[in-house]
Amino acid sequence: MAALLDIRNLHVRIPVGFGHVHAVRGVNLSVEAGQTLCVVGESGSGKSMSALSVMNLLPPRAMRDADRILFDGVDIAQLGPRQMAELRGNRIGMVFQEPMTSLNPAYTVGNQLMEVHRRHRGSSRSAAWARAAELLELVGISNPEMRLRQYPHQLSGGLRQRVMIAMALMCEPGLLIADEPTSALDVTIQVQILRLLRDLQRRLGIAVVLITHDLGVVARVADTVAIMYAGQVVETGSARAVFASPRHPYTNGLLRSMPKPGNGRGEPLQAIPGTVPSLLETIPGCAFAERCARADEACRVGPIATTIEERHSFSCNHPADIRAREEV
Amino acid sequence: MARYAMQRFILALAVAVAVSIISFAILRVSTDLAQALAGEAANQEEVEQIRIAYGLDRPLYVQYFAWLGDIARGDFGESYYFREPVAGLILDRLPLTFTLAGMSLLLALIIALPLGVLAALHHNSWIDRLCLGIAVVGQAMPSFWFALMLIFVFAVTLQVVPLSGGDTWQGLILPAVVLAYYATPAIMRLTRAGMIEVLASDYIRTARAKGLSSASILVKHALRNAVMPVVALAAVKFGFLLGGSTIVETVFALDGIGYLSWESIQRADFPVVQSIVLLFSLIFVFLTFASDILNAWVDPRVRV
Ligand SMILES: Nc1ncnc2c1ncn2[C@@H]1O[C@H](COP(=O)(O)OP(=O)(O)OP(=O)(O)O)[C@@H](O)[C@H]1O
Ligand code: SF4
Ligand SMILES: [Mg+2]
Repeated sequence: MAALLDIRNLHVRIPVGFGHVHAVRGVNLSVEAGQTLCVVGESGSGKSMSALSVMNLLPPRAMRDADRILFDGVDIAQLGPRQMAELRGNRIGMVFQEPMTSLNPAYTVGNQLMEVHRRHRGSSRSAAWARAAELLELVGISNPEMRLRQYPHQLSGGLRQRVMIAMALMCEPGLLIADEPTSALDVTIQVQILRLLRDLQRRLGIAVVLITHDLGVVARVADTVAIMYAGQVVETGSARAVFASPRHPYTNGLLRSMPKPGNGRGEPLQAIPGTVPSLLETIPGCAFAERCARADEACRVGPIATTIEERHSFSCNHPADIRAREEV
Repeated sequence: MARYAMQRFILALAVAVAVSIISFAILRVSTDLAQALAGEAANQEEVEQIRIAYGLDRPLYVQYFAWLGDIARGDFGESYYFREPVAGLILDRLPLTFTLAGMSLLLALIIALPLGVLAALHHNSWIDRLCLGIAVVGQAMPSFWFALMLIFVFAVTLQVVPLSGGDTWQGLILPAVVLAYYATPAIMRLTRAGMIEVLASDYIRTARAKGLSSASILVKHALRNAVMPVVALAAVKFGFLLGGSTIVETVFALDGIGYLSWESIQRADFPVVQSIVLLFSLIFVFLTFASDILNAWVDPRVRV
C-alpha cells in the first residue's frame, strides 16, 4: 500500500549567528492512511522541525530541503505558497503543544472554527456554525453553542486543546499532525486528550502523526514508531517490532528509562547519561557514539550501516540481537 | 467592564484632583499674586490692599476651594491683559486647536500604520531601516525649522497653500503636516513592534496552519491585536498634539490655544496660563481614561 505521507531525505537548517543549526539531518518518515505514527525523541532532536516541514510552517529563515515529501501522491515540497495553503487546515490538520497561546485572543471560538470551513469549503455562516458545533460535540465539549460564543481566555487549557483538535478536523483532513499535544496539560487532562485522539483516529479513519516524549503513550496508540536522535531517525518500524526487539542502543536506553506500567506513567524520559552533540557542527560517524556503550572507532568515523527489514529499520554498526533486550 | 471602567474613572478623578492642586499651587508659589496684580510700581500698602480685596490673605486651602468652586461654575478668572473672562478667550480658540490636532492625528495614523506594518513585515531589511531612519530624523528635526521649510516650499515658492491663518482649512494643512510629522514616529514604531511580536505568536502560526489567506492572517489575526496598544497611544498623542500646538500655531500665526498660551506667558498673564495648563491637563486625564476604556473595549480579555 502506498503511504499517505512519505518523507525522503529531509534536511532543515536554521541560520543562527554566523552558522547553521542543522536541526533535521536526512529524515525519512512515512505514514499510511488511517494509521498512527509516533515520533519519539529527546528535546531538540528535530521532531517539531520535521513536522513543521510537512506544513511548510518552519521558522522564518529556516531552510528546508528534501528529495520529496509525498502527500497522497503529490510532492508537496514542490508546491507554491498558495497551493500549500489550500492543503493546510483542509487536508492536513495540525495541533500544537501550546493550547494556551495557539488561539487568537481577540476572536470567539466559533469565529475561529468557522473561518477554516468557510475558507476551504466556501460554506455559509450558518453551515459553518453548524459544522463547528458538530465538531465541538465530537471532541467531547458539552454545550457547544455556548462554547462557540466564548473567547479563548474563558476556556481551560484542556478545553482549548479540544478546540484546537476540533479546528484541525473541521474539513475532514486525511492527516492530523499533533506536536506534543498534551505536554502543557495536567496529567489527568493528558490522558483524556490522548484517549480522544485515539478514538477520533479510529472513528474517522484518519492518519495521525503524534509527536511525544512519552513512550507509555506510544505503546498504547502507535502503529508505527520513529525514534529520533540529533536530527535523524535512528530506528523505525512497526510498534510491535520496535518494542519487542529494539535494535538501536538509543532505543534500548529509552525503553529502559521508561516507567513500568502501573507506577507513575506519563513521566518524562529519564536522561540517558551524556549529552546530545551540538547540531551546529557536522557530526562525523554516529551521533550517539559519545553516549553509546558499544561505540568503537569505526562508529566515531563512520559510515554507519543502515539495516532495512520488512517492518523494521535502524542505523547502527552494532545493533542489539533480535528479541533480546540488551541489559548493559 | 463596568467594574473596570469604575476603577479607571476613580483613578482619573484622583489624578484630576492632583492636577488641579498642582496647577493651583504653581501659580501661588511662583509669584506673589497681589504684587503681580498691583504692578511693579505699587508700594507695600497698595499691594496689601489688593491682597485683601482679592482674598489672597486667606489660608491657602480656603483659596483653593474658592478657586475650585469658581471653576466648577465656569469662572476661570479674568485675564490681566485682555480684562476679559478667561473662559471666553479659551472657548473662542478651542475649535481651531482641536481641528488642528484632529487633522494631524488622522494624518499621522494614515502614514504611520501602513509604514509600521511594512517595516514589521520586512523587519531587519532595508525597508525596515528606511522607515526607522525616517522616524529618527522626524524626531530629531526642530519643529520650527521644519515648519519654516514647509512654508518656504509650499506657501512661498509653489504657493499651493496660504502663507498663514486658520480662516480656511487649506491654512491648516501645513501646520497639520508639521504636527503629524512629530506624532508619526512613535505610532509607527509601536505598530512595528506590535506587529513583529504578534507575527511571531503561536496564534499566527495557527492561522497559517489553517491555510488562511495572507490578507486574512495579516489584517484579521495580526493587525487587530497589534493595534491595541496603538489605540491607547493615539489617544495620548492627541493630548500631546493639543499641547504641542504652541510652536506651530505661533509659527503659522494661527490664533488658537497654543498661540494664546505663548502670548500669555510673555505677558505674565497668569490666570490665562493657569487655566490653559489646567484645561489641557484635564483633557489629558480624560484622554487617558478614554484610551483605557477603548482598549478594554477592543480586547475581550479586559472587556469581561
Ligand atoms: N527558531 C529557531 N532558531 C534556531 N534554532 C532552532 C529554532 N527552533 C528550533 N531550533 C533548533 O532546532 C533543533 C530541533 O528543534 P525541534 O524544535 O525540532 O526539537 P524537538 O524535537 O521538537 O524538541 P522538543 O521536544 O523540545 O519540542 C534544536 O536544536 C533547536 O535548538
Ligand atoms: S553505530 Fe556505534 S555508536 Fe552508534 S549506536 Fe550503533 S553501536 Fe552505538
Ligand atoms: Mg517540539
